[in-house]
Amino acid sequence: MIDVSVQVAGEMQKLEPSTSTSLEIGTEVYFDAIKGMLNHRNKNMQIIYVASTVPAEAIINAMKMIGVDTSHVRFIDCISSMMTGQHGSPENVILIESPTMLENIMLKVEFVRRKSPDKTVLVIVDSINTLHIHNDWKIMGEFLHIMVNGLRSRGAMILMLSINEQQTQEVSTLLGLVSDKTIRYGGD
Amino acid sequence: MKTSQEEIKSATLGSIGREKCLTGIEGLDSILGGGIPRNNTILLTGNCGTGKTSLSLEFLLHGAVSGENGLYLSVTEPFEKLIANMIPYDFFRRDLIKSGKMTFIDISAIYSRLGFKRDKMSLEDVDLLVVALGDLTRETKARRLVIDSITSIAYQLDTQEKLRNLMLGLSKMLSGLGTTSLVISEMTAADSSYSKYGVEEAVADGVILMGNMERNGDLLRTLQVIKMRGTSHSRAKYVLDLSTAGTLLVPLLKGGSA
Repeated sequence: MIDVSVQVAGEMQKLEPSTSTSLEIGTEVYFDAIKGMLNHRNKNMQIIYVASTVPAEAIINAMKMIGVDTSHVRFIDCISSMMTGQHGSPENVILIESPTMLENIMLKVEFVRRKSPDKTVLVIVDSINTLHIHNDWKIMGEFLHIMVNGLRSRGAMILMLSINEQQTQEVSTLLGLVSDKTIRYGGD
Repeated sequence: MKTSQEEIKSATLGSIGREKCLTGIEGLDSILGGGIPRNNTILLTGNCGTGKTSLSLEFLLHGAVSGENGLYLSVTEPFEKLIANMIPYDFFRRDLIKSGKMTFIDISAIYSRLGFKRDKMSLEDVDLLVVALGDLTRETKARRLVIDSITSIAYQLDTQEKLRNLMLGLSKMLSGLGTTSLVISEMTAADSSYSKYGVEEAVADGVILMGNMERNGDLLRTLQVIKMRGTSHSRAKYVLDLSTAGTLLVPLLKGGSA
């Protein structure tokens, strides 16, 4: 059986600055895909993980159980504060009050980027589908357009996750507009 | 003869030809087409909790780091409290204060020096205050000045004429000294203009409006440049975050609505 985490890790190696990639995955390979993304270590790269599907701490704990170190990743958690009322967070997690505060996602990404001025930045958005639950497609389109192009102009790489089984035509259209490349795993 | 590239450059945002004072706040400098036109007096206005004091402190701090002396005149807060409450910016250094690059003055010290004892200032007192602030700006060699806030000073002025005199006098004096200033104005939600008395915004060379905007239950801090003489600027509304890396700005998402 093909190990999706190895394949995703391989794709990570191929990412180039100022590019935006859409990663469509099936729910059955969700954590394998995250493992592949976060296992990717490059001391000159700052990985920023925007978590809106699963709380950042759940991802950190799940990765810890399978031996993946996430201490080099900065998480921007959009759901813990809203869903659990969580205020305190681990050092590498920044909480956003609500996934509807899309501007705050951009602001926190910019904050982390500024804190690592000498590193190439990789922004992983997990996922477009869950952000779409909380925001209508017009504001989502505007958000992705501004964020992706802003990051591209600064040489960053963007990886946007979406879940095949939850894919809507609107999300596909949005991703088509802002992605240079689409990679698909699972969900067949 | 200008090259075509130079012509394009001179036609772009903010290239009217005035020398600019870089605020050091990346997003704001971009909105202003390269910074505040030098020697301008800008009204920084907004409700409480919108970030006026933080933004103005950062303006002084960036100036001090790049070698321009700054003067902060506080009417509402003692210096120590102001510093204690300041965002712990990554670029803040205590020695900027010790070396005189940043000077903090409580306006009550100026009032005492001038012998003001009355609750309300006379027109002569207003003139004396302008002269005293000019002397202080010269003494500290301040290229950047913040007055926090003009609204609090205005409580001691019982006519609009006095306030107009104060604003015009300050603006003329500071411009003559080569000082770029931010004059903070406190608004309430009920105010319909950009300042408490309406005079401040008319006299200032520029108006930067800071606000709180509620959208679907979320409260966003916003910034909008309403006017800025001497430069082309964006008039769009931006969302800001006051962080230790400095003030960060991104465009307000409209989601297809007005």
